[in-house]
Amino acid sequence: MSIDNINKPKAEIADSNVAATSVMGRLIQGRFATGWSWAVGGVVVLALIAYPFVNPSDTFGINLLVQILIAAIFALSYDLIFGYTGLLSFGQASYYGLGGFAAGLLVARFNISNFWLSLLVAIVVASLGAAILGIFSIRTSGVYFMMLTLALAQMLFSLASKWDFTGSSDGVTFTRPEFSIFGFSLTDLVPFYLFVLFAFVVCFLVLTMVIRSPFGQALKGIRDNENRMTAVGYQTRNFKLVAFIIAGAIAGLAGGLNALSNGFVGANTLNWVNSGAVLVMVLLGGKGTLVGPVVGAFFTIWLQSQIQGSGSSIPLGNYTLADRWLSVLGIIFMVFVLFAPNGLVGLGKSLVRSKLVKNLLGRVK
Amino acid sequence: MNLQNFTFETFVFQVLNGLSTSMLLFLLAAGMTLIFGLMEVVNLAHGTYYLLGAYFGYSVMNATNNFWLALVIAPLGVGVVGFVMERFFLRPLYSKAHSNMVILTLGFAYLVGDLTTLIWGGDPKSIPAPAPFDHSIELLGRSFPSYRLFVAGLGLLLALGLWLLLEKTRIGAIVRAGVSDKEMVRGMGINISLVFTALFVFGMVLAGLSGVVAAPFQSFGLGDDLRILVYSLLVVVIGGLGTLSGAFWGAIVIGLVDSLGAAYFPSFAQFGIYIVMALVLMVRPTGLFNKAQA
Repeated sequence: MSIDNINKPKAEIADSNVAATSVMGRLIQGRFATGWSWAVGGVVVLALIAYPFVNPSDTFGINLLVQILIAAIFALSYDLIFGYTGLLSFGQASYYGLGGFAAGLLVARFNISNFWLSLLVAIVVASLGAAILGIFSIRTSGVYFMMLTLALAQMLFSLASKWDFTGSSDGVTFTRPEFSIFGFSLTDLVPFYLFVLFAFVVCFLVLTMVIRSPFGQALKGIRDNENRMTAVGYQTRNFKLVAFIIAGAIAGLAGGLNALSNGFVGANTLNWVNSGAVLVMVLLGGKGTLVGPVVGAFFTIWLQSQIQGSGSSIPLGNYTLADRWLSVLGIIFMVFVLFAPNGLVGLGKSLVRSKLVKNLLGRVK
Repeated sequence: MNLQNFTFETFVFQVLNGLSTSMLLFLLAAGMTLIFGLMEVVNLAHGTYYLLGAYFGYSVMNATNNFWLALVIAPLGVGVVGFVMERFFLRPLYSKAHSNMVILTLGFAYLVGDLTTLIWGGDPKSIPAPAPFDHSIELLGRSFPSYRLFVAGLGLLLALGLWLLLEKTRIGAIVRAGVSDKEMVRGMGINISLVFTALFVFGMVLAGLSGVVAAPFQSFGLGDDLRILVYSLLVVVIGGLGTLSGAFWGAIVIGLVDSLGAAYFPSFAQFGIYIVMALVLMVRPTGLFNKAQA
């Protein structure tokens, strides 16, 4: 066993051994996977663009897609921290909430009704928040890190739910800023949906670049073995802090979009339960991949709307299935941690690896 | 700030109030900190076990109308749930990364917390204080619920008992040895996995006990599991994970800050405990009473 593998769980070592059996095989598999996944991604984005034009009357579906895309942006931001850097943070909701409040309060308290400015302020405030909270959190590690992120997040939550400026427990309602692109008003559903889709694609591409850069590789190094990275000469704290700030900025964008889509922002966006929800999405989809959080966000939000919608006709004691959404979330958590720690994407990968690719590689040889 | 009616008497009164909360928090956090020390499990379902204890106690009370019976039976019931969780859910994850266990316990908290709503309904419930402690006594010219004195006494007694158990008995020695070197304990021929199960169940019994004990002066219901979880996390983090004395002093700090904050800074009561935690972790990132600094 090489030194690299000492800190890895056994299953992971076996996994990397399988993949490394033939360099040629790995190369082919990589090319194969990358080319196809970009093509599939392109088709999905085109289908999402086309959807409101094919089904213009389906406002429920388009609204649901807006929610899914915003959740996906949020989940992507969290995956940079949890999946790529290996930091189990319970504070990601802070940046989502900070972004939402920044965007909303600019309109409601400062009377500046500008869509772009709201989004910009959301991103700036959230990244500043991430920088400040990050400096404190990153001093600690392991369990203490987890708990400090949780406590700092709850501190913001309890402040926002008591402070009149942030609407205390009622939240802040504001008029959505008017803005139009090419003559389409963004306060209308379809143009807003397309704008959110655009923001999502930009975030996805930016994160892809971040992950593939030497910086992103260093983050993975920190996740796999922080001591080794320190020994090699990396200032791992600075890397973690920058990852925190990038993730904070993107979460802030998601929070800002959410506030602008509802014309409302409340203290609950800051609650750590939101950080738990985004953890479910990343875990369900597959941590440490960029497709995973998106799949997880899609599946979670869709399932929630299904259960809270049609689940109300399925009786369960004095209640209906619709009231039991938290139970469903809990079961998803447990099943995936126990049986599929790499999420839906991991399940898909192992399926492809087991049948399809083996046959293909057989033919190449 | 609300200092117009500040007098020495009310201050002492609030301190006493805070100390009884502290003892309750200690009961809650003792299990969490010991479990972390030995098994390195951060149990995010800890508050759920507290809530389960309160609900079990409520049901036993309804059936028998005997608080003391509830005080014994409910924690044991909670212990059974703890046994199931450790044996069938946590055990498969011991060899994997720690974050997996944290996430599993969070899933468990969601599921069981939601099931309590299904069984008992979400509206706040409480248990009446039992016979000799169901009235208030005169204290510094104000009436003070005698049940709070009972809680403080019980907490102190259990703290002493736990300390003796841990420091003076063979079982305690095994647990302490396990905290510092698991492999060595295994090498001595001790069945450490049995110790894991026993300690986990014991910790959950304590959490369930604190749920029953708290029920006469703190109503409980939907969402309290996660609220209580945050309190016990704060206590163990301030004290330093894995040490009983840390949990004790951490509970004293949080109980006092919470009680005095609620009395003198009513609008930012909750805020105070988070500030204290953030300050402590900035100065000492592994807690006040943890000798092993990271």
